[in-house]
Amino acid sequence: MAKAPPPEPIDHHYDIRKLTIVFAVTSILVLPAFAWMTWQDYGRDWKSWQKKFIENDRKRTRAALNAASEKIDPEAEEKLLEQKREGARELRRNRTAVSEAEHKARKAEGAWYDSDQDFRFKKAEMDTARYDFETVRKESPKSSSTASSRKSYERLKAAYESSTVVEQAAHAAWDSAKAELAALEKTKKDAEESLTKLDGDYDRFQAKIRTLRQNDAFYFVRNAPIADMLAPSLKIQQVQLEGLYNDVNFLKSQRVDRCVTCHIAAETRGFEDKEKYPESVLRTHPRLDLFVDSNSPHPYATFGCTSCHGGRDRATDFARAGHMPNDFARYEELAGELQQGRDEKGLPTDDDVVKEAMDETQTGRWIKEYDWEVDKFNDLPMYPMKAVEAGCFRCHRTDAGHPKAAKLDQGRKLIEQLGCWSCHKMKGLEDLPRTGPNLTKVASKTTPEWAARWLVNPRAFRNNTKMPRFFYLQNFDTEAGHKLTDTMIAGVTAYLFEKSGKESWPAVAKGDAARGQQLFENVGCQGCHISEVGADRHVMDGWRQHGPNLIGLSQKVSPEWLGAWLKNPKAYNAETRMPNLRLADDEIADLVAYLMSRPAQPEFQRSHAPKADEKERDALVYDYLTQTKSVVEAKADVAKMTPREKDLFVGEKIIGHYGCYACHAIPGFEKAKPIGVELSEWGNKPVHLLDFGFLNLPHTRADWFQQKAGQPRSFDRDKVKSFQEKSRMPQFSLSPAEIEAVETVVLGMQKDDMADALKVKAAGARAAVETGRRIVKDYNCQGCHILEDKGGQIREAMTANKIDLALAPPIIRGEGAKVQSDWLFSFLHAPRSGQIRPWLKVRMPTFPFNPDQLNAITSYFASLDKARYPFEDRVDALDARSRAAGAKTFEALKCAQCHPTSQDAFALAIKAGKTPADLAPILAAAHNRLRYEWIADWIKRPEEWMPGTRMPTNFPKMDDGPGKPEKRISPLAPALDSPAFAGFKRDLVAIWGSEAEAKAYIGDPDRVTKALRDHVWSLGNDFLTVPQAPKRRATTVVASH
Amino acid sequence: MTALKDIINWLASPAIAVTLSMIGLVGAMFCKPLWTKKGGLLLFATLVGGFLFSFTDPNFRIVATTPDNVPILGMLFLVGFFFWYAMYQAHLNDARLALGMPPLEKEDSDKKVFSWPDLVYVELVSLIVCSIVMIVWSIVLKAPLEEPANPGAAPNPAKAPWYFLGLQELLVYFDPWMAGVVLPTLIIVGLMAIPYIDTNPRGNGYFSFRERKWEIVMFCFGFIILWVVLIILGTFLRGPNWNFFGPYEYWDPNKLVPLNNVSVSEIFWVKWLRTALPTFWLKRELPGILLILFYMGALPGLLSKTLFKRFYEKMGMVRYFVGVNLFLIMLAVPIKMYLRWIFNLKYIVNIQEFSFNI
Repeated sequence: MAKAPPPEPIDHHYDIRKLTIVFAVTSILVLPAFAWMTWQDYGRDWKSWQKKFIENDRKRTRAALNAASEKIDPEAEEKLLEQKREGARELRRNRTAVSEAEHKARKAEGAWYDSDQDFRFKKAEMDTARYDFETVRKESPKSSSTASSRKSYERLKAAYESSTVVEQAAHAAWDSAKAELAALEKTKKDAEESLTKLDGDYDRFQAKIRTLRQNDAFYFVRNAPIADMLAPSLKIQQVQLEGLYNDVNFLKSQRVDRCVTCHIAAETRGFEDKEKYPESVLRTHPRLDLFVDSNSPHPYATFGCTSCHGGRDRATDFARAGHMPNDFARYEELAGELQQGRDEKGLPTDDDVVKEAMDETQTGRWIKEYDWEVDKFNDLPMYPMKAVEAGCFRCHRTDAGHPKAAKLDQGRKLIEQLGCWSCHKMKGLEDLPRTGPNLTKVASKTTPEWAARWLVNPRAFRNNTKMPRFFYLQNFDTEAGHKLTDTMIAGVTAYLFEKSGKESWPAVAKGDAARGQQLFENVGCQGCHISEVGADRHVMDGWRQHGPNLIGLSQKVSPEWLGAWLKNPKAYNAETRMPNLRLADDEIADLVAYLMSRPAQPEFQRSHAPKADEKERDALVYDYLTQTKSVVEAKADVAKMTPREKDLFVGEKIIGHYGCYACHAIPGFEKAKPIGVELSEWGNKPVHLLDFGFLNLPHTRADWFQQKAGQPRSFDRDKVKSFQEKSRMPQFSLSPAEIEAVETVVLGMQKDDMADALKVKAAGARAAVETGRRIVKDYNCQGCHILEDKGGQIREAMTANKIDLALAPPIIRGEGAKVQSDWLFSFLHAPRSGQIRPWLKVRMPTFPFNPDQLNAITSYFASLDKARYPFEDRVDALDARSRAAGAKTFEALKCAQCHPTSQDAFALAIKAGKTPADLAPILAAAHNRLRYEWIADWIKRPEEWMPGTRMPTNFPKMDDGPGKPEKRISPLAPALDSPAFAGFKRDLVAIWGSEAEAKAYIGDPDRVTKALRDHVWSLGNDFLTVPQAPKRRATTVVASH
Repeated sequence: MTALKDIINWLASPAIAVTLSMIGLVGAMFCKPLWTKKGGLLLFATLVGGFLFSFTDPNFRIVATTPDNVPILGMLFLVGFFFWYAMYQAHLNDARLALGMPPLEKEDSDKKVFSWPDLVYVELVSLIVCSIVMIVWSIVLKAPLEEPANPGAAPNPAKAPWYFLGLQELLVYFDPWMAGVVLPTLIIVGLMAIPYIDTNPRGNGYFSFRERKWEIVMFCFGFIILWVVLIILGTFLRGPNWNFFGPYEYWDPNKLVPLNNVSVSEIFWVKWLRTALPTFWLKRELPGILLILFYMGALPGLLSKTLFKRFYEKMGMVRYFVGVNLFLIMLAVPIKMYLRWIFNLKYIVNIQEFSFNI
């Protein structure tokens, strides 16, 4: 029942007019709010980058288009156009025939379409009937329904088959109609086809420009808010990465990299130019040879971006993606200074002013341009570009070095050589040779006074030492701290010398220092040692600092020890890497005389020798005793102990406290565990677990690490800490560049949580190479030899000593392909001087390699050159004619002028006044040493095996233009007819039977080099002198002629 | 300035803050001039002034502008406004009732209006205003999304949603079964029981203070002090490691505060009787158990004869005992808090054998 409306005026609870005004105002306000929201959602930075990239791409394409249009020959084009016009005229002339043909073709197409549809429908019906028939028969094979369904299946099958015939006929009719039409249109079509070919690039670029069009209405509609859900041209670009994960603690989620949404040019060549494309985000990845490119070892589709760079994979916002600037700490420092300056002037705090003034830092610019901030919720931000190679280490930590990542390689070398890995366990950097000398017999090498002074400051003795400084650092920098430090040093020295084995060494004859110097400069010491006061430490490319800097030895060791050491380093230290140079006693006497005369750093001897402070020592002993005993007992013990006992007690505790035994072998600490924190996954360590103390640092892993590596004790600043609690890490005196290098490695120490298929495979040839490189690094082969195109640093010293570089240790290049592995094995096991290059004064020393290492090295060389390993074909029968021809050719080419063919020949050559600079390796032992196949190849193209070799290129390359297979010519062929070669020609004719045969031989570089090889192979080769029945293995050699 | 901030930091420490807010609340409720429009403006101005002053402090700014904490700032103003409004209306009505006039609500309820426009129009406008506020809020303050939860690295401080921060604060003083199960259950049961315990018909349907002073003071104590104040404490004054920080103090994760708390059994046996703790738990905890039995068992009866005689007579036995028990439990919360603050009392009953601690 409807009620009557109330009488007017209606009484209202509110003032309706006012309410309407409020309604109007809020309704108007809701519109801008909505627009703002839409804009917030729609206006993403990545869209503007994509727009800008499209603009760049268009400019580039336009340039390419112009270039392409210039390339087109206008005459040819005009001709084709004319032909096309002619075709059109022709078509007009035959108008009726053409239209008839067109009509016919349309009709035929219609008929075919109809028959094809019929054919497909029939097939579907037949398939259904077959299925029905099959199921019914399975259920009840004998029933009537089986019979009827069989019937209907067969009927439909027949219909299907007949429809096939109809369809095929219709198609044939259509084809012939089309052919008729094509015949009429031929002239025009041909012209069009040729035009397309001619304008190929031009058309392609034009088509691309069309797709890049940014200013037509369709583009705006496609990318308009909301409408952009259909088919936007600006869109998120992503790649799903199989086997790469985000660790979300309870599960792993697949990585989906969206970086190229902004870095859209990364994969495209042609955007490298920094001038043309100033925004780095729109440039091509700088190393497409290694990354991103689908042909590189790290293709984008497999590895994406974040697996190397770090950062948040799905983010498309600058700060959220985890970009990290290079100079965050510097920015904070500068900003702090500027802020302070404003405070002092009484100006109000103004963040903008600070930012304005921050243009000089990358951080400041990022804040200004991209609203950059630290995303504190991002556990793994990107590596800053200065440490970008950290990403390599995540997977490549098992490699021995990183030749393609210079900074990482440097960091790794620093960690290996300075011994970071000894205290801090690092996966992939384990089981390396000890970094510090063995101290189990230190008392028979040096004096306690020297050791104590050394401990105070190792660099005072040797500026380039790798031993870090443990004492007199900032967290002990008080008077009491100094006394305590001296007490500790005295204790450590006392302990080391008390526990040390004591051996005495035989006396050394008085030698001649000048002769010693000669020896020092010639025999090869300088491959690993320098002897320079004040030299700086070089770890990268510091092969000559592999061993200690040989200065101040007279302060440190006795001549007897030095003599014994040089005679046999293993007698003093069984685990030393110092090789044996097989020096004679008189050589040793001379060397000792020279080395003992080398100068020392002047301040060292004057520096104070620490002595224990009694009060501090008692306190220290008491402190340690209370850890296991009650206060009363500890006090009683302190009172009971003699000063010597106290020193030894303190020494043992301090060695344990600072973990000296991690680098040095020390008696009593054989089983002690290193004291450092494991760093294997430090790159994943949550930042909040790092103690920044009272230091004003940005809270990032990188900044914490830089501080720790540069000033390891600085986190104690302003803290009240007991002796036990104080930081213990020693001072390595790293330069800022070195810190950055080490930081790069340590930041890269992360979990390798990825599918096994993506991990570096440490097996096969790769493993052999890495194991070999490890040994090369540990034994400093590159100090003397240029190996893998690096090292050979002894040449620097030789140049300084004015020694001919022809006397330098050989360059090792293609060694695996060159020498037989079993020869290499025995040579490295026990090298003998004077076999191959007797004129060399520098000696290949005897290294303390064990059989595993020897196998690893031989396998390494073979793997480097992909050569056969371990055994080489044993060629013991040669083609007699080839060998004879080789001998004659060897003579004709005067090979023996440089290459002595036996030790006797070498002696004769020296007698004849030849100098080493004229001589080449003795060939007598070639068949024991070289690979048979390699010899011929070497003779053919020595300049490729070893650029700069003195071996002449007898068979120059023929330049047939690029892309052609290499071909070499024999300049001997035309020379054969010259009178100088008359005898040679006669010999060859005699060997080969006819002049034509002889010419064919001499004109073929392959045959000549093989013949020479056979001759070289036969030199000093006993088993070849007895004629033998051809052996199975030799057949290949014979058959080749 | 610094001295003033130091004083405020000191005043904000839990014991003082809770005491002051209790005294302030009860005192204010009886201070008539506050519940006028002028008084309201004064309260509002004080609150706003306090915030403006505080916002000059960088540490306060960090905490107050964290997106999670912004709603609590809003709540502060809303609770303040509605509390003032209720008291304002109550005092108006009290004045009218004193003159023998009916309450304002009586006049209102006699009037009839249409749902449109009087109700629906206002709702529509509210809807629009709320939409604008929500949109702008969501744009200006980004959702505080963090990294995936990691049980190995909990955030510090780990905080409950803001509306549970009062309960989380109770965890400082009680074991989880008490603070997280028993007390919240009793809050709900107690709120449900109110209509059955409070049968006073006066004040039904209209604001009045004078007619239900005791009830209103009790409710406000429970809601404002034990709920809202604890939320504010938990939000703004509890920092890393759940340490207490003054409003202008830097949230230093390394701040150390001693937690030297003792139980009743330790006080009784070791400090008073100077002997070792009995090994049998019942003997050891007997003093605490007796205290609890006295508080929950004997005290209601004693009170019915003395302090609450009036209530006992008015409400009858059943209502009285249910009501007074609920009241005592509510009171137990601040009592335990004060015992902790003043005597470092950890547990009254500490039976670790069964993880039963009060």
